[in-house]
Amino acid sequence: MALNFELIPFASGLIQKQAADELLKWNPYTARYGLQLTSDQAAELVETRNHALTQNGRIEFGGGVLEKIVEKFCNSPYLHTRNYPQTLHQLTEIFYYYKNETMDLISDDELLDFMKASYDGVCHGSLSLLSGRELYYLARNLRFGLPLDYQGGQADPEADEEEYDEQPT
Amino acid sequence: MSNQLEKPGLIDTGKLNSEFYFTSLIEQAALHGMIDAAGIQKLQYDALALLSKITEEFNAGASSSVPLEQAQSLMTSLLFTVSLALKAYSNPGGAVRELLEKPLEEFYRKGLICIKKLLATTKTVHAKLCRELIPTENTCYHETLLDGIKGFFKIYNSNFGAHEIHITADYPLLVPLPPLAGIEFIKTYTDAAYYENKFLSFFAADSLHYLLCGYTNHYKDLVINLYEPAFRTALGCALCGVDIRSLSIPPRGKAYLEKLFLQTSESEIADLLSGALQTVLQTFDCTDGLNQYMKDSLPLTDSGIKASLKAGTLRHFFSLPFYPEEELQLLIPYGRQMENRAYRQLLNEIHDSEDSDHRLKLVLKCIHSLADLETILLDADFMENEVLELLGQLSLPQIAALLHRYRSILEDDCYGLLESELRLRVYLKAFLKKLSNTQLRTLEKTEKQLKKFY
Repeated sequence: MALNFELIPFASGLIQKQAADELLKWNPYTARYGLQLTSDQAAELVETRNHALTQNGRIEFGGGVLEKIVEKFCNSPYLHTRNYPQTLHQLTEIFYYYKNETMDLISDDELLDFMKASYDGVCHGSLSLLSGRELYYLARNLRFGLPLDYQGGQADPEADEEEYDEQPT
Repeated sequence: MSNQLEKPGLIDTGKLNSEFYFTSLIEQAALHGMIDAAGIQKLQYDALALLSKITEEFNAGASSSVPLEQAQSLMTSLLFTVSLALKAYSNPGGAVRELLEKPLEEFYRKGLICIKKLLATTKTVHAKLCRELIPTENTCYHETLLDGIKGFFKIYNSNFGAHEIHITADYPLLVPLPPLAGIEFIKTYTDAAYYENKFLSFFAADSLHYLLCGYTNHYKDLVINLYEPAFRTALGCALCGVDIRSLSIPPRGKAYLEKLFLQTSESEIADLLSGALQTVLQTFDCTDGLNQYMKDSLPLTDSGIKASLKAGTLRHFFSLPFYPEEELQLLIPYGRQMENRAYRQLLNEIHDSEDSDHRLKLVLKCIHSLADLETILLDADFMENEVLELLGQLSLPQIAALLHRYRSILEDDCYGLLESELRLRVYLKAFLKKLSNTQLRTLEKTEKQLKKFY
C-alpha cells in the first residue's frame, strides 16, 4: 500500500463500493413508481458520478447526491423503466457541472429542486433544455447577481456561446 | 496518552518533519516495521471518514461535494491537528502504537484542544509583547509584530484551516525558526519576537536608535533584524569592559575587539563569547526563556565573527553609534533666476561670440545664482573645455549642489534625454573622470551633507 495521505489517489476507490450499496437501498422506495436499478446499473452510476466529479474537480463522500437525485426524480412523469438509468447518468453530469458553474452559491437541495421543477415543468422532460437554457440562466444570474428568474440579454454573447458548446447534455 | 513507562522507541525524532509530522511519523514507523499495509489502510480509512465529517461541517449540510482544492486543504488541516496531539507523546513509537489502537478522531479532538491552548498562550504572549513593544522608527517591526500577528488571530480558523499561517511575518528574527505551520509557527514566532523585544527593552530608546543609525542609516525603512546589532554590541561592550547599557562601543574599544579576535584562535572564540554572554546575563534581569534565546543566538554571532575574519571584514562586524544630528549639514542657496528678457539677451550674446574666453567671461559676469548656472549650462551649447573650465572655477559645495541637480541626467538611461542633456552628461562625466579618488569621495560626502536648497 502506498504511504500516501494525499486525497485523490485513495479516496475515489474507497468511496465507490460504499456509494453503490447505498444507492441500491433506494430500490424499494422507487419500486412504487416502477423504477429500479440493478447492481451493475448502480455501479455504473457511481462510476459516472466519479467521472463527473473528476471532470469538474470535485470530491464527494458516501452516497452523496446520487441518492438525492434518485429520491427527487423517481416520481417524475417523464421517467420510465427504459430511460431511468440513462436519465440518472445525465442528471448526475449536469448536476456537478452546474454545481461548479453556480460557484457553490446555492445548496445541493436548492439546485435539485430547481432542476426537478424545470425538468417536470418548462422543459417537459428535455435534458437539453434543462442544461442548455434553464440551468444556464440560473448559473449566469447567480454569478452576475441578477434575479434568479431573469432570462434577458447576455452579458458576453461570444463567451456564452463557447460555454453553451461545452455543456453536458 | 499512556502513563506507563515507554521503552525507548526505534523512531529517531530527528528524522521527523515538524511541519508534516503525521506523514513523516507514519513513514518512519513503516520503515522500522512498526506499521504494516493493513495499519496504513486503517489510518487512511479513518482519515477519510473524519474528512467526510469535517467536510459536512464545512458545508453546513448545504452541499455533499466540495472542490478538490478545498478537500485537500481540509485534509491538510486535519492531519496538522492530529499531528499536534501526536507531538505530545515523548516517545513517537508509543504514539504510533496508540494511533493504531484508537480511532483517529480521538487524536483529532485532542489536537483541537491543543490548538485552543496554543491560541490562548500565543494571544497572552502577544498582548504582553504589544504592551512592551519598544519605540522604534523601523516600520516593519511595528507592522509585523503588532498588526500582522493581530491579523492572524482575526482570520485563523482552527476547524477548517488549522495549518494556515495567513500572514507573511516579514520581520526577520535572528534565530531561524524550524519549519512549522499554523498556530505552531505563530506561537514560536511570537515567542522569539517577545524575547528579542525584551532584550531590546533593556536599552534606552535613543541608544538603540543611534546604534541602528550606525548599523545602517536607513534602518527605518529596511526589513532588518534589530536584535542582532544590539546583541553583538552588548557582547562587544562586555568584552572591552564598557557599560553594556550604553550600547556604545567606543572607537578604541572597537580597535581592541578587532585585535582580540585576530589574536584568538577559532576554537577559542566561542569561549570568549560565552564569557561575554555571562556578563550580559548578569547585567540584566533575564527570564529563562530569554536566557535560552540569547544562548541560541550565540552560535550565529560566533559563525559571523569567523566569517568576517575569513573575509577580512571584521572592522564592520561591530557597529558604532552614529548621531545624525551632529552631522554637518550644508545649506546651499539656489538663488533666483534672472528675468527672462535678460537671460535671453545673455544667451544671444554667448551664441554670437566665437571666443571661448569671452563666452566664459560673460557667464562669470552675468550669472549670480545656481538656478541660472544650471539652465545656462544646458541652453548655451558650450564646448567640453568650456564646461570643464567653468566647473573648475566653482567651489566644492557648489559643484556638489550642481551635480545633485543633474543626478538624473548622470544616472538615468540615455533614453528620453534631450540633445543638450546628452551633451552635458558627457561633459560632466569627463569632469568627474579627471577628479582623484579623494576628491570624488569628498564630493560624494558633500552631496550627502546637502540638506536642501533654498
